[in-house]
Amino acid sequence: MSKLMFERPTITRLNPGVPSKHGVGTVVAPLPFIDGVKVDDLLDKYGSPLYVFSERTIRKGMEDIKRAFNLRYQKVQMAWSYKTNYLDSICRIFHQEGSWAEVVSGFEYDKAIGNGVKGENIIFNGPGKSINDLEKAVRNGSFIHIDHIDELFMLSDVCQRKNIEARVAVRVNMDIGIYPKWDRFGLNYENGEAWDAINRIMMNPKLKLMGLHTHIGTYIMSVDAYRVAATKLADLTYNIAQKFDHHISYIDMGGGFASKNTLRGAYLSGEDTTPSFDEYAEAITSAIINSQIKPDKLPTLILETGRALIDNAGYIAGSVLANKHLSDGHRATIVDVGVNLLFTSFWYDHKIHPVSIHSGLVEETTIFGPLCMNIDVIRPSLMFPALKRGDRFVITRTGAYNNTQWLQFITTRPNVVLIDQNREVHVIRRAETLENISANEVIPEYLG
Amino acid sequence: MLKNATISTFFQGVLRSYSQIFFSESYWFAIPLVIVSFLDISAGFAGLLSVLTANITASLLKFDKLPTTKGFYGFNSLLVGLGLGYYYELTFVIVVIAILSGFLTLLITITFQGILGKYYLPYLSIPFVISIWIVLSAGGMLSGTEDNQSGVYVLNKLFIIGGHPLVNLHQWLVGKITSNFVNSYFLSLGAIFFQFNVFAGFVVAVALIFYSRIAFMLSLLGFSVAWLAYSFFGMDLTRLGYNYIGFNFILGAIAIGGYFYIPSKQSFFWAFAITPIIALVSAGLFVLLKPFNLTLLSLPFNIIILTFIYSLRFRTVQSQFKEVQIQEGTPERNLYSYQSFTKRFPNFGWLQIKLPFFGEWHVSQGHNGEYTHKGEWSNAWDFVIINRDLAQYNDNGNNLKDYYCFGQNVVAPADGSVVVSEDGIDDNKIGDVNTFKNWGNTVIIKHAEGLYSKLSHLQKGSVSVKTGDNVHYGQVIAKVGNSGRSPYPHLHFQLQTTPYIGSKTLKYPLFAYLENGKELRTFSYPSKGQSVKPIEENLILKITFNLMPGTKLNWNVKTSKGTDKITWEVFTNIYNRSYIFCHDTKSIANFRYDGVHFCFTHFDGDRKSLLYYFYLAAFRVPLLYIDGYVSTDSLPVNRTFAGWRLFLHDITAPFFMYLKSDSSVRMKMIGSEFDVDSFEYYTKLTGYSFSRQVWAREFKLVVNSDNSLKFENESLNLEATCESY
Repeated sequence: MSKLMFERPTITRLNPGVPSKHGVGTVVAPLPFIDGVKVDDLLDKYGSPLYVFSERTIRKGMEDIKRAFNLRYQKVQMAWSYKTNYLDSICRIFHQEGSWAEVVSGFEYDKAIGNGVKGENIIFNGPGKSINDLEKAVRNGSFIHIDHIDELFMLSDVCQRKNIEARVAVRVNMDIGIYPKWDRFGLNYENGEAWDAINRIMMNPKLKLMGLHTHIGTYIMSVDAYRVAATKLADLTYNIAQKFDHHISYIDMGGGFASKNTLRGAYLSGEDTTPSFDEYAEAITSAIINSQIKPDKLPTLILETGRALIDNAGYIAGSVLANKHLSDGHRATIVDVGVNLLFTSFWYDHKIHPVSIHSGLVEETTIFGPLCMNIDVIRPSLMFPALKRGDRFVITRTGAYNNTQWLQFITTRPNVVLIDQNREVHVIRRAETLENISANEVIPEYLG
Repeated sequence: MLKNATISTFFQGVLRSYSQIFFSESYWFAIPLVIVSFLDISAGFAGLLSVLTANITASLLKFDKLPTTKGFYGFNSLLVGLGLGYYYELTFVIVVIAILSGFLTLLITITFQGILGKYYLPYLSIPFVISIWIVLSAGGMLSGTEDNQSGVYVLNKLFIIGGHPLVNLHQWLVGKITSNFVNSYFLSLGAIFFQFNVFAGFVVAVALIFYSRIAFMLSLLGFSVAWLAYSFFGMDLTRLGYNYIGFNFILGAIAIGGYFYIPSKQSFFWAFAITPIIALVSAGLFVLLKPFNLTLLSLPFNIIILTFIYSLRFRTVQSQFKEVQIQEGTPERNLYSYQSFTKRFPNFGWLQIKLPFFGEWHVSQGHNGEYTHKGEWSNAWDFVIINRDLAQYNDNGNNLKDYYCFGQNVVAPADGSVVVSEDGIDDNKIGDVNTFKNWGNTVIIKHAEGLYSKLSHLQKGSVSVKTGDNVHYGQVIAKVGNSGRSPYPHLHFQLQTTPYIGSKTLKYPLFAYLENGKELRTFSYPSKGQSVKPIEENLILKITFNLMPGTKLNWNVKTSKGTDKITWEVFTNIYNRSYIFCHDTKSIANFRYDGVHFCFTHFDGDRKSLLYYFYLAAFRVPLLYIDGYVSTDSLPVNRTFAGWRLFLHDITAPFFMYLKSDSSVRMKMIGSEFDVDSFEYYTKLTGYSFSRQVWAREFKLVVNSDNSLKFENESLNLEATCESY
């Protein structure tokens, strides 16, 4: 018989009688394996903390979203949102699954080209495109999504001077009845700016209007918002056809589908409240199909879904550094994963699972990161088992944004590994070293 | 211009009246026949007069131009005239009678067309028989007629026409033919034109070989069987030759073996079998008609052929012995067209029943399935949606919602009207079945008389159509559910002949779908384990190939000889068949467009024309782009081979074909998904003789996004472009 595990004593309030509306209490399930690979082995080999991605989950997500839309609409094209996660290996999995690239900067644009994406399969979004970026994208035949009228002037100027033709789309923002209104990106539908841009594009022989784009927001839990947005874009498509006898090639509904993560402050778990791909698909495709657009002129539907496809595929595994009690007696656990690595902890209540089996007793705990900063809080409060120094845990659904918005703060960033479909583990980004970080530093001579 | 055209069609009508006697529409074949008819000047002249009268009268009375041009209204009059001129010297009275009988025969012809036409039967030479009986009998009563003696004095007659050389030729021929059989054969052939000499028969035989090898073989078959039959019955052999009834067997064999039926082993057999019967009928009729002093002429042939064709219409199964549906003029053409058409369009005219959903689905049970598609219900399909791990559900599959197909739209598989719309049966929990209402919620749609489609196990409350509604293909009618005898959500789809829930299934193919993402199937049966997806229409290709009547294609052709402008125009004929007509070469190419393929079905005209090359290149082209897909087809050999190869092949063609011409078309898409610049078709044509390649051709056809065309062939140095239309 193996030695029983020691767990320090905890004090938990006893709830006699019938279960409350919160159920019978919190159960925190251990997570010893990711895709059949032992988390302990991973940490032993690649160090703690560690980013882990599941290729299987990525591909399954793509399959699910494509199925949901393809069953309802004939022409659907996915475009991988680079800013969500632009680790090259991750991008390449998406490209293998047929995704184009959706980029928002010259840096991302070059990354997409480097990943073998054809110029005509890149969608160039964002408010900060430089003249050089624009010229390069136009020459490659990429789709330029106009964000503001100044960009339109800039693009038109570039095309005029260099005598090149650009394929453009207009990013439209609109009131879709949800709060907050996302009106800082693109041109507004209601105040006529979108039409102004469209008129200018249609009159400009150097610009070819290929599509309409909207991105109604992020983590949108209401499919009706998409229905309204798709209806408005379809109306706009129809009106452009009426006015200019020009049939646009695509409607880009942007991203924003919610992942199964729970937003900070949400009462119910994201797993229960977020809509499925089928529900989003039904709302968007039925709005377009039921619009006045003639059936033989229906545009391709482009989706830039990022978060909902990669969040579930990413994990961060780490170790407990210490336990302490706060002034009010509240328990706190310090772990080696800080907000520098888990940027999304600012808006999600990430689920944290111990790797090993525990007694099942949980206690209200605050999880702090290792940074010497007051804001470094992973979870302000959660019911968590009593882990001791050195115990390991896995934070789930961390795939989106954490590898693009991560901070190199007071330390270097750890290894990123990918578990492929045959359960083989590959390092897809080596841990940084001091040399990596210092390499670009230049020391003036007088300090040398 | 118009006048010229009228004269030319009139001329064609007269000439074709001669070739129509052998069921032919060829005018060059008529030339030797005209010459033969003039071997007896009196007969030839009276015949021509009669046919002219008939055709002019038909034109004056405004009868349909087409039968006149094709010689259908002239050939009976021609025969009457020939007979008249044969029996009587060409006096003024006979000239008048020839004209009158031409008119009379036309009236009888059209009357019989009306009577027999109702039964879709040809009138053959019945008008001739009736007319000549009357005219000849009348001739005896008239004064101013003299019996023509030249029939007895063959050499005198030949001398008048051709002098010594012709007489010598005839004598040489007679000297060569020692066989009684061959002699009688030639005499019988000549007798068709009332020319009772070996020379006439010989010329007809040679012309017949060049017109049709199959017809010639059949003429020999018919005659030799008759010869054997007569000797078997112990009847007078010479009577066969001299009573001019031998041609009954010749024409009978050609009619059954090659003209009214597709030439084949079977047709040859029945041509063989029918001949002794004609002999029997001839003998019987001979005796019956004797008291009336009437000769048999072609009466036995007419009676037997009509009886045969009419009675065979009552067959319930067509078997391999098939009646010709579209008469193309020669047994060879009928054969090649039929072979090609039945092979290429085995489901011609069938309704286009499509998959009752959108997107890619999986066949979980096909025809004769192992679970429930058995016995009378064996021809049905069950469809589900699976993921790449072949699972039909997400999570653990304990809830209906976990199943990918649950709640997906079910659409009408074709246009029709709803005859049954049953809803209100609960969806089962996973694993449960409802054997009481085993079909569950069901919609039955009537597509045609005796063709219904049934969609079952639909979701409770999802049926959005009611009985009597008209539905169109693609219209959402319900959602997939789990009602009835359905342990897990799936869509049951079957076709049936009766409008009831529980009717037995009908084996009927699905029109067009993509199998496993890469194979295009038309009129096929999805089977278990396959993934199937409806076809998406490609608009560029649709606009380009769905050629509407009145469309004009203006080509700029560049060859080594220089540049040229060619105009094609699209027409639709009275049978609703569309064709491209080339104004310059008068060539025509019939085509079909079914939304999935563009196919040429027929070509007639100049084989050096651009239209012919286009016919070859676009013989069958797919109208949707599938990466790496190669579409193949076989062209009828009489459109791709010529000369001695085809001439020899015709002889064996009814029994086995060793020539073959195949086409394979590879497609390429230029540009990106949104901005398709063009689709390129690379056609490779190969001709085989006994599986050995004897020729090859390659074409490239480019369809641009503005539906302008480019057409190239390297070896011909041909480059043609067509503006968008």
